[in-house]
Amino acid sequence: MDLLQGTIGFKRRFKNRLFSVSCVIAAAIALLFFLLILFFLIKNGMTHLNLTLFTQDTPAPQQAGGLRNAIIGSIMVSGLGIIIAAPLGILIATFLANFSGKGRLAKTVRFVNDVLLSTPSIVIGLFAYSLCVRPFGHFSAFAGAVALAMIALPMITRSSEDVLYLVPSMLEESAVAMGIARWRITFKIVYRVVSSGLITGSLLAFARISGETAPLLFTALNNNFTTLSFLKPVATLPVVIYQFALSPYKDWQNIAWAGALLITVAILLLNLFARFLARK
Amino acid sequence: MSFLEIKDLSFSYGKVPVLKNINATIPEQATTALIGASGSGKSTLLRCINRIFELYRQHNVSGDILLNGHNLLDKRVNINVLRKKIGMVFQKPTPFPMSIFENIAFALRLHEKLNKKEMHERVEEALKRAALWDEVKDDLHKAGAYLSGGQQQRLCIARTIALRPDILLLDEPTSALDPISTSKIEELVLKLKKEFTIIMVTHHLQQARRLSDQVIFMHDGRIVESGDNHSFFSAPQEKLTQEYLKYQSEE
Repeated sequence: MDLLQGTIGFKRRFKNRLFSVSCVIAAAIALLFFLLILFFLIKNGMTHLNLTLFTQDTPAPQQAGGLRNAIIGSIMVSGLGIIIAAPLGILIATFLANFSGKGRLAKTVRFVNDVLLSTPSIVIGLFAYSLCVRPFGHFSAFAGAVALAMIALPMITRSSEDVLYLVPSMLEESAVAMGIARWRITFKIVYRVVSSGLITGSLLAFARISGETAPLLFTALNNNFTTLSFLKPVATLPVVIYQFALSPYKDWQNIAWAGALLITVAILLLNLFARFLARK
Repeated sequence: MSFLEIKDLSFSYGKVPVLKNINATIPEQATTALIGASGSGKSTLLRCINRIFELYRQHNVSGDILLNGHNLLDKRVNINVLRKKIGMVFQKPTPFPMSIFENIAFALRLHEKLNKKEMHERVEEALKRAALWDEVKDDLHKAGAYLSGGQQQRLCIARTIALRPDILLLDEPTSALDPISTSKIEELVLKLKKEFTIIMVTHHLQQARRLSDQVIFMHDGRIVESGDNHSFFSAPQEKLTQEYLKYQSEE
């Protein structure tokens, strides 16, 4: 048999080409939109990016000001959201991956998790409202964090479960075979093996919830001043951007552009950092 | 009285029977090789002795495994103490994600109260007995994962014997290793059988021949034939055994 003789037909080569070119075009379109967003944000936001953004609170219409209260509020609400969601999500994932076998409970939990993953964020906001705002009679950063935690939870559960499956079962077995209790194996060996994967999942969830707007409208609401109290309403970047961008005031619109650029760059950096960690 | 005695042991995963009425006696301070084709149940038999099968659901076990007359399968047995007495080494090296020193100290610390000096002595002793000390004595703080495959496997043996078990279960311990590492592990097994009762699953007939005092040949969840090394290899009685030995030696 002569491998060098005979060529692949024109039709087959054409089909192959057509397919790879379509893939490249699709990828280029996705990239194009991302670059366009970034371009407009930089074009409109860059000139309004300055230090007062970080040192002053949101202003009254037609006055100078910044986004300090919103930046701090966003970090508070998203941060507490992840602090609530990450341990819970990792524990649920541990149950699913290591302790449940193929039981019916695990199937149910996985299904509920998938449903939660695709629940509209506005619905989650309403739920958090009835859970954490109505009974106390006022909006609060805490209620916002609870809403964001509910969005982050299914993401963290899913990503952690995937990561936990990467731990070779033989590693766990060999620890069990030495008479080590399973909770200790889970904390000292299993989590340690996949720690960067678990952290990456939580960071990506953090990046995602820090851009959420709808669930915060009914929960954290807004605040014109900086507060560090979780029991008071707080401003957050997405909500302030939403409010300012729709306003008729030029100053507010400019701050909204700067805020949008700020949060996009922050999320971009978070994603890059998470990827860097995952590669390690 | 024999040391370890398996009586009428049957085992199934779900509805699939894996072991069918196994009876065997394992002599003390000797190496027993479990041989047989894949799926013959030899690994499962090994995994019954330290009850590691309990990690997974839907298993069904009946019969007795007697260690000095005590039934290991009794639910009242303290499983962690049992697993300290019966150590196990797996097909692939499984270093824990910690330093060489900690790999050995980790389980030891949970089973025994030792001060710092005693701990160091025990770690050193274990590494020496596993013939690894000279290679790692200056790198005890380094991660176990930095060692070569063969060294990792000796580390796994070291951390197992650090607990001073009575029995060592070896589940194809050289199947993932190169020939040189394999011969080092084999040397080690020959040395260790003076101190431990060793039960070893292996696919290599030659390895079983070199290392074992007693051989158990399994097929389809049953013991076909067992006997001491010499008589088993020189004069196998059963037709299945003869065929298996012939087939393997042709390879």
